[in-house]
Amino acid sequence: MNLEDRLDRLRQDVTFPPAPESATMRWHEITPARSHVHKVLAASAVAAVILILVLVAVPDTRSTLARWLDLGAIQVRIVDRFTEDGEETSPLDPLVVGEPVAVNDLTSIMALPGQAPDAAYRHVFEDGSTAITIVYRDDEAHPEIESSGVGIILTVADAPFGMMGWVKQAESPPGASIVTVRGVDGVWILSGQLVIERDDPDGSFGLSPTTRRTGHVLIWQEDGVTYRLETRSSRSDAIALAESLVPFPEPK
Amino acid sequence: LGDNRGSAVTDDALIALAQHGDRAAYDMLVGRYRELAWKTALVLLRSPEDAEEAMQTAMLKAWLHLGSFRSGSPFRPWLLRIVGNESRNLAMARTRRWKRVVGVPDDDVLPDPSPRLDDLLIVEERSRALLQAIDRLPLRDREVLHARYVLDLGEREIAAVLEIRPGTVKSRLHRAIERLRLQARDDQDIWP
Repeated sequence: MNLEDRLDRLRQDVTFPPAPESATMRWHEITPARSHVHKVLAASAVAAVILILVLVAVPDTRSTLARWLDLGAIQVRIVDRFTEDGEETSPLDPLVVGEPVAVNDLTSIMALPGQAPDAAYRHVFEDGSTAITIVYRDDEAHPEIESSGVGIILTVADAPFGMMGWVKQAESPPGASIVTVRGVDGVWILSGQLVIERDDPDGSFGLSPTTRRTGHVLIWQEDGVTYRLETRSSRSDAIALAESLVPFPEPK
Repeated sequence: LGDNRGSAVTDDALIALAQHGDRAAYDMLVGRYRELAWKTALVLLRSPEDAEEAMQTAMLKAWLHLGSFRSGSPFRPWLLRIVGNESRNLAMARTRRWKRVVGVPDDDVLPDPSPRLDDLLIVEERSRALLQAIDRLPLRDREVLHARYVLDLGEREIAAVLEIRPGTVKSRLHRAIERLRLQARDDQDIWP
């Protein structure tokens, strides 16, 4: 069969995924524009975000795309291959999320409106900074993450990078993409890997035995606080989730 | 037309109604080309999420500019032009943003991190090697080949999506096929 015939046959041989239901006209976007004050506040929020960008020399085994950036408490690293060293751990490993705390004890975190988290964990670092992790069980709207029984994991940390030692690895392709979430730049990572690095006595980081394949992760920073939202939902659903977060406990 | 609006209603009628603010007519009109618009955006962007975003923006812009649509012209290439334009804008913005965040100068060329098309679609095994071979061609070549042979667009529609003159479509297709033919000769072991 010649090339032209094979090309002509191509259209019959490919099947596209159906257009998502949400890929339609969004009439609400042509309702009256937001107020000027709202726009100024949103612009200020964008301006307040500082991304610390550092390029590093990378081993030859990594691609030219292998770069990393610090986004608040978490380092995002683009790699050719996921780290193979280390033991696979569960999403709620105490080394990662800290110790369980009562949901009612939580103050000044963000959570889904009208929906108390199913569990909460606190990790206090040496400098006193804290990471709070709240989880929601999986349900129809929020598919299970990696056989954990969990649908959403939200970590809120006021720690600077280096204290937590969390590295989010994304393989390229498809790698990671920059998104706008809550008016600031964030990073969306498809099915990445979480690596916990420990602080060695000499000040350098070394790989701990803790690694984990993750769901999709959205990371952003607001007012010096880092947010990490893990879910199996799509990017647009994850951003919608992040946009909907409110202070918890919800004001009555 | 009320609830009796169906496929017998012409595009022209729906356009006329939509131009007078009838949102249901517009929904029906774009609904006819939704799947094609989705496929076009997906081929150009190679990301379901970005394709969804490009489609939503394109539909919004088409609504806002419907007043300038020339009565009697075919709607499909007009909509496809907007979808193509939005997809390219989004792709460029995505690249610029990524370079800014990772600290790479704008004129640096980074490897394309997009998934391959055959990873996004279900492809019959007999055509997989061909699709992969097209993916290895320069962007200009593969865009026109995808538009013609994957999306099954006519010349006028290809010109609209790629924002080139209709007369350029033929020559670009010819060149792309020749490059593909050369590649086929080199890759005979995997592509007999």
